Amino acid sequence: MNLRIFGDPILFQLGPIPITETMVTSAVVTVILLAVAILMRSLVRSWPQHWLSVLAFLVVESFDNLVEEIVGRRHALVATFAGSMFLFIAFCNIAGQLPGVHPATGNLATTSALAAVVFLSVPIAGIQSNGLWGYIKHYFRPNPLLMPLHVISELSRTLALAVRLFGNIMSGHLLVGLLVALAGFLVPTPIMALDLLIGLLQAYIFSILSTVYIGAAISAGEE
Amino acid sequence: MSPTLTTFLFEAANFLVLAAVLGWLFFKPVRRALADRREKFESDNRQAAQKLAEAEKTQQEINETRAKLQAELNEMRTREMETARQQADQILREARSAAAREREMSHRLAAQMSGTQRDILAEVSAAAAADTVGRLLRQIGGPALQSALVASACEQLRSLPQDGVAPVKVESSQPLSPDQLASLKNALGAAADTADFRTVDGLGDGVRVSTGKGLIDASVGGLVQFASQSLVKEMSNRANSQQPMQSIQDA
Repeated sequence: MNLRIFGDPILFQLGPIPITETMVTSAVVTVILLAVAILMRSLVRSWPQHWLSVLAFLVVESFDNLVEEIVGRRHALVATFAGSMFLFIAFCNIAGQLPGVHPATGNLATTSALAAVVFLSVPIAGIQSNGLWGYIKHYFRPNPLLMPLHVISELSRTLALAVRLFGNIMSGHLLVGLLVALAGFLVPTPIMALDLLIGLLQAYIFSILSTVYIGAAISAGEE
Repeated sequence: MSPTLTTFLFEAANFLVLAAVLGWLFFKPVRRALADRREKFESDNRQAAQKLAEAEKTQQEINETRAKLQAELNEMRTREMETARQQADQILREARSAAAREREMSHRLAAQMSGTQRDILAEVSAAAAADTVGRLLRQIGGPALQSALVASACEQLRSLPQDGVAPVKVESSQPLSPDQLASLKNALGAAADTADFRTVDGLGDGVRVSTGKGLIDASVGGLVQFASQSLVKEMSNRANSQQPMQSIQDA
């Protein structure tokens, strides 16, 4: 078990660019995820009754309904964003259960990058939905004096997104690693199952919060 | 270049690329498949609803046709029952009529048989009565009876008109006495000249006179025969006058 809290080993250099272990893990997870997605797509077309097709229908329909409940209407782009976020984080967290694999979401840079993407997506969705002034206007509501608080709120929730996911995944992975080191292979199994559950839960929370933030930005002008 | 910054940028770019590719490769096709399936289900539902409506319409038509047929059937049944009732009444009337005719015929036959028996009885009674009267007259017989019968014949001859009495034939079973002969000739008047007096058997006492105006039988045989005929005639007259009422009462 590769135990670390901060820091990311550089596996090799690609010119001036260092390739870290987290980058490789993320890339592998991405490839696997894409392969599974392609498999599901072909199954959906050729064999809709297959359980993977049903799972694909379930995932897509669930996120479409989730976005509809939060935003108030169906929004394919937001649903795709939230679904991709959930799948990526969930696959990264599941990958962390494999021996010798450090989860990409156990790295603060990864969670910060995902939080930053959400942070940037919020104004983009808001401006796309309400226009530039329609989106900026909501920073001055109910009082223009509260604009700094709005900005601080957005920054802090982005930071919270990143740190929450990082803290949960890193702590779970660390706990399992310590138990494996101290008590052998079978004792940490319940903790590993719990860690797996927490990983899926955190993926769901991250994608839900992302949807809520983006949905709030989309419906900001309507308020 | 800092590894942390590199990782940060890579992860951000990696996720954006992943989201774009997933949206293109996974979410969009699956969403389209879902929409197709939903549309297919809705189409199937519409078709099912349409077929259900058609089935209900057909069912309604069948029910209407059935009701119409039932009404026609009831009407035909009523009509046939009425016809059958009329036929039954007709047959009953005919049967009653035939029974009445049969009964009438039976009554007539019975009456005929009764009449025949009555006639036989009358003839037997008449024969018995004639025999009794004949025996009585023969027991009474003698000159006095002979004289009385001749006097009776004379009386009847006198009551006849004198014209067309001849020819006269006077028959008796025994020769007439001169007085009796004279009385007869006197009663005959002019016709006595051509009268034929003869003696025949079977008459008994008395005489039988045949004239142009008719037969005057004042003999015991004639009286017996007259009594017999009178009795038969009287019984027939009485039977004919009473039988219809009796038949009606029997009926």
